[in-house]
Amino acid sequence: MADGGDDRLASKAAAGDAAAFAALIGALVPRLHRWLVATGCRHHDAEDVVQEACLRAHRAIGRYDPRWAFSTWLFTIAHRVRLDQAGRRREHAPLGDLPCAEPTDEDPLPPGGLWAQARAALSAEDYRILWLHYAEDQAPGDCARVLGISAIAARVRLHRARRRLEVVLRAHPASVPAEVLS
Amino acid sequence: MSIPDRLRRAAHDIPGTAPPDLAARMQALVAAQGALPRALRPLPWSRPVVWAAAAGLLLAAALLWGALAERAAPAAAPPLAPRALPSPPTLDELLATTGAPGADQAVAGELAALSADLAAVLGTVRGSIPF
Repeated sequence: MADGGDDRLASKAAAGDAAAFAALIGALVPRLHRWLVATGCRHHDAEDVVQEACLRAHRAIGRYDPRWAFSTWLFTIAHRVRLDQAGRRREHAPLGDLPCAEPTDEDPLPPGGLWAQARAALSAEDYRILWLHYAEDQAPGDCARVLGISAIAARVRLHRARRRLEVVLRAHPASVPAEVLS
Repeated sequence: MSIPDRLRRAAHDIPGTAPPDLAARMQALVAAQGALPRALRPLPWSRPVVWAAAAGLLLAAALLWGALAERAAPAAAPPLAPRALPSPPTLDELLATTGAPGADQAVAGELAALSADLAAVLGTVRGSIPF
């Protein structure tokens, strides 16, 4: 499903309208950068990923399907760029999963805040999908598309992340308002 | 307030991380790449129709290929003519082609001996009959 205000721009961009494409890029780049940094990318790495994602989107705009939100498409490209980047680094030093859930010195999350707690409590995959769904307002199906998993897997991960976060917050009730746990 | 609502609210409070000029730089970058490639015009038929047409074309191509291959193949060898079986040799032919020296005499002697034996047997049989 396309974004409410962006679907017309996305259709124009798919038809070759450079101004519409630039407008979409301008609106989505800050969100994309924040998602990357909030999930563990350093600023300069996030800029590299954003730049490569924009270039790939420019090259592949002819294959963009306007039935899907442009933001979902761009986030999907960015996620793949990031996987490629992590794969290249893994050739030199095995890192395991994407280095996304580790706080960096450029961490935008307020210490002790709910998102910082979520990042500490959840796996990288669960935290990433939690962010896409609640911070980026992506539907579970769109989250699944971005992360390259099935829609059912996305729903399961979201449910698991919420449950896990709830357990952690109950274990540390001092940091959580009572109405959250009610 | 539920956890999902609180997550959404907390996300709004997280500041942006992109440098202020990043969006403009990316816009300039994509603008420098030139014109956007045009999207391919979608086919005016539904997907099942396209698949069915593709399958039909594939089948027609396979049949045509088979016909051409059959035409291009070398002419088949003519069927073998029925061959008459040789008739078995007669006794005379066998006797004539033995080729061994004195074979005729040996056979005649054996025939004479057999005739004598047969006559003796007949005499014995006649003698044993009381009437």
